[in-house]
Amino acid sequence: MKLKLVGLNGDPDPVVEQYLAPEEIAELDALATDASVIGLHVMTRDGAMVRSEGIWADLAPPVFANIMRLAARIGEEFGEPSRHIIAFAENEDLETAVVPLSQTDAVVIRRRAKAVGLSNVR
Amino acid sequence: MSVETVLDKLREHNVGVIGCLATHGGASYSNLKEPYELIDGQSVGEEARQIFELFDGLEAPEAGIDEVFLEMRHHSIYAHRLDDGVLVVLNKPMDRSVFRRLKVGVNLFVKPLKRELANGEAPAPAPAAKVAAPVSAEPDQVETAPSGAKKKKRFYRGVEY
Repeated sequence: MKLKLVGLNGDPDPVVEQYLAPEEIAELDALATDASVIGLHVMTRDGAMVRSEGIWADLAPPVFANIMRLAARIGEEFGEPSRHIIAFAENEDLETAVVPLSQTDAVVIRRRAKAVGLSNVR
Repeated sequence: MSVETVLDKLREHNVGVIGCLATHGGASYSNLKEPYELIDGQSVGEEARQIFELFDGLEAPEAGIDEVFLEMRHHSIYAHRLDDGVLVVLNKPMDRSVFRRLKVGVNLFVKPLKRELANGEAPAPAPAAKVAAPVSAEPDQVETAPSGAKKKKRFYRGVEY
């Protein structure tokens, strides 16, 4: 999967440039080349989509913005002053991480590697 | 064993756990101590439940997401979905690799916790008084069955095995 962080001509996308620092663009681009990554979304803290590729493309930005808002409220209950929260969630098939960037949040969804035993091969 | 006892055991057996709270229906249980003792368990539980519901809305393939880990500057929080509530474990700050180990330790207590939450407020039966058998250095004893037939029982230092 390739996160399209550049415009059609290969020029930097102005929307992406507005929200992401050059180092963040490079980091996300490298992450997008990982074969196990099946979804990569960048959204503002309000849930506005900056870039969204792969699984849950339309749903992810607003849903994860709400998840991070609830996470921040839980943090506040425990006296956590900062909104700098990294969230992980996983099930048998997927791992999801929400990582705060300078102005935005990035959601990375990765397929979990499964051990294949000999019984599966036969 | 009560819900509070399970929560206490969960805290004692896992290094880094500050305290935990569990919600079930309208009830909430907590073993958080100062400075967290005034935290509203119901409200934290409701927020954690809403996070799981949002994940359900994403329609994760095959299985829903039942565990969420929040890494913060001064704390880390592990939320686990229960049948009719959530378990929220407050920890010292830790990274994700430590969380994976913690998860195994915490999940050992999830089953007894679910059982105790299902039992609700019903008072636990008083434990039967244990009478220690006197230590005996005598050889194996033979006990007579009520029917009159002789049945051999094997003892080691007074305890049947």
